[in-house]
Amino acid sequence: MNTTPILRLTDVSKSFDSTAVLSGVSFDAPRGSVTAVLGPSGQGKTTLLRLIAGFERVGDGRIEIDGEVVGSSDVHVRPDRRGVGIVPQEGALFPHLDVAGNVGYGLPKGSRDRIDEMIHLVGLSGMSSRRPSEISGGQQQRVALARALAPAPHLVLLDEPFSALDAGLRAGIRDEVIGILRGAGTTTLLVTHDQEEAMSIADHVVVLLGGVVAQQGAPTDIYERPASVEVARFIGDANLLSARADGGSVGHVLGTQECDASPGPATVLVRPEQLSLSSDGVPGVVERRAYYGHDGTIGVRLENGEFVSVRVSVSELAPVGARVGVVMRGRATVFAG
Amino acid sequence: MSSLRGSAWRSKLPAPLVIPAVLAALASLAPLAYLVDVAFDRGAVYLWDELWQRRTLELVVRSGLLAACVTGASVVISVPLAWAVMRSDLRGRRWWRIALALPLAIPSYLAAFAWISWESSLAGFWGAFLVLTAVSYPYVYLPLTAAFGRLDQSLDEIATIHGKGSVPRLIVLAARQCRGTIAAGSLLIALYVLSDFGAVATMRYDAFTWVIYGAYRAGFNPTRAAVLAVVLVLIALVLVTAEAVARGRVVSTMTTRAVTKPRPIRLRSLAVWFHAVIVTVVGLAVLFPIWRIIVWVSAHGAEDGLGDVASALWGSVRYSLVAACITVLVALPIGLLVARYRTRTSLLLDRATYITHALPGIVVAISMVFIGVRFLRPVYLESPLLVLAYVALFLPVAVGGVRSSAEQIPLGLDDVARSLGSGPMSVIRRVNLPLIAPGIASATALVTLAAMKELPVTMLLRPTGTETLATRLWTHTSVSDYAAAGPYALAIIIFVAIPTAVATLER
Repeated sequence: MNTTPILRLTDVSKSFDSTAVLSGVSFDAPRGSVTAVLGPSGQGKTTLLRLIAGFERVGDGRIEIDGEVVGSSDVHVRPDRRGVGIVPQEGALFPHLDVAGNVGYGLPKGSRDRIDEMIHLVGLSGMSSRRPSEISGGQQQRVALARALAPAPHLVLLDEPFSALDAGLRAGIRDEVIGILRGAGTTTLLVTHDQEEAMSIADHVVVLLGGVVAQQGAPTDIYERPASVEVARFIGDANLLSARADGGSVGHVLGTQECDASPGPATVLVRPEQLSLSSDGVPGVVERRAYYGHDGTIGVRLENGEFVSVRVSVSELAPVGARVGVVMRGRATVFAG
Repeated sequence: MSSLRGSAWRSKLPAPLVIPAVLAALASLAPLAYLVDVAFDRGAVYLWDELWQRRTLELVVRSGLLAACVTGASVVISVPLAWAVMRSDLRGRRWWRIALALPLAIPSYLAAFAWISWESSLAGFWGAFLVLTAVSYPYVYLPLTAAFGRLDQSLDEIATIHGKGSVPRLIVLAARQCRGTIAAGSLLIALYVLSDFGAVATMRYDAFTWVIYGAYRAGFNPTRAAVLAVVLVLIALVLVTAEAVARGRVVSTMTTRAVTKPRPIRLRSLAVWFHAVIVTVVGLAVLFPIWRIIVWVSAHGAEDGLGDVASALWGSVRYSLVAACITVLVALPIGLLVARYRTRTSLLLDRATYITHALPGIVVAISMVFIGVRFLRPVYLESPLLVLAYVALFLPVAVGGVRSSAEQIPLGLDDVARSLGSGPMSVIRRVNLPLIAPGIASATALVTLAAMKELPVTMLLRPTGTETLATRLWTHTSVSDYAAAGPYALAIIIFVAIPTAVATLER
């Protein structure tokens, strides 16, 4: 089997008017994988996508698609010659073409069979002559997907493709779209600011903060072993507590654990679900409570003045002002400094 | 928000668009360049002497006075009426809103003909003032109705709670919030007044355009006509630039959040007054001219015979239609580049076509005459030169139409098409052109109508022996043969003013 990654970025940088948007971005998207680029708004995600698609020129570094350099400081393959499919936010269907016309846009004339096959693949058989304005948002998104897949691209880029959909439909359409992409064996790069979305569907997550790759790896790695305090804060709810390392162990308000961190001040990350209430725990006072239906969280001011968020079952949701004890399970993640 | 939409294109401009666009922009500025050349014909000292005369200063004062009075009157009319039809419970306000916009469709020389044929003592300042106010106040009124429609009613409610909710106070409050819109519209009116030829010519008011025409007509002094035209263009350029700045401010301060549909404010006993003013304005600006023309035609019949009217109509339609098609064709590359690309070249093109807004018809006409006599002798007083002048004059209108419809296509569509294998020209052919087709059609219609009602260019450049509705009306009016002018005026109402009103209101 061919093991060259479909997409390889090596030290890619880009500035606009001397403001650096991306610096030294490197990652691979292996053949047939789903990779998510995850980051808050305005951190260079869209620029990255536009560089890969060829809408912008690379400032520095190299982009390779299927082993061929398509973008570097002196190479720029035009977007129409890259074989990269795009599914933009809100679909961006051609309003003057019907469903079949949209799906067939990138195909040579007379590709009726391929169009039908694609429309069938995304479950819209019988809708070929509908106009984009006559179908629902979710259906538009599926047409956009069929359109991107029809010319059999090396790579499909999804730009926040689900954020415009109603919250109620989002998860269903998302799973369906990713299912189709996986079924077709396509390599997929998804850009999103929604960490839950990235974690739940991607094989590989690239966290982009401030134009640099803050961490990349499997979703579980990133959640359980964040590389920095910033990543920890961005991915999931995080309790960050001050701690002190003394060579062999690290101590903080909720306990002590073995650790080879060099002696000195440190910060530890404890997820809310690692904490629970117990009468013999570290004492504190409930300052906040939030009820989510299936469970809830309470915010506890511990005796040393630090504040932690504790995930609890509904029956444990103590009222504000109540005195509780907090205990920790498992290991905390330790950051020096 | 991370998105492929709305991000600026920075890619290279496609050469098949750039070359015709740059040529068109240069060609549209050529009359201006040549005018400057003629103005300096006898050297800078002569130009200075020509400028530094008492009569030149008087001309500036007379034109300025007219522009200032018309603009002031238009604001005074437009603010309360736009407020009443948009924010109050005035009965029939939806119909009034449309009726008050109608004068826009009436050519100034037509309104002037109606008034002067009724009362010849109106000639001079007051006639010009009356006619120009009647036909140009919609330039403030129309944008103001749009702006008032977007205002947040919570400010009205706060004012009312604090005991400042009387109708005049609410009008002032609304007007102060829309200062920018009023400023931009006022500058447009001032520009319109300075550029207008028909009304001041019919009313024999010695404003710039009429004096320029006179200097040209006298035949012995093309330099003076050119010098005055350059001065007029300079003043117009100031107005155009100021208007662009004012409009830019309006756009940037416009609220983007959803505004609740305002609850109409009750006028109670004041409603009668508003009705009276609206009826007066619509009566003076629309009904009176139409009534006068119908009276003339029914009293005197068609002196020129139906055949003459039909041949003049054919003259109008023929040249206007050809000119409109060519203008839109020329405007297409510019409009597409300006709307779809953000580069230094496209911005420059945008500015260049914007400048041509400042060229009054009489200036384009005179410079085309100079160019025709000097370089294009074979087509001087032949149809190509007339069509060329129309193209130069109406290019901004056509570019505006193409551009605004091209701007509505999300940039993301171009990106998607590129990623599906289309090159830049193929994107234009397969995505942009089909989507702006309705915009192209309406731009063509607007330019056709504008050319049909155009007077000074048509008058000076029409091929020998060709008559159009506008030139016939002008010829008869200028010798006070109102009976003969009547049928042409009626034809202009039917074939130009009514379609213009329909086309404008649809947009």
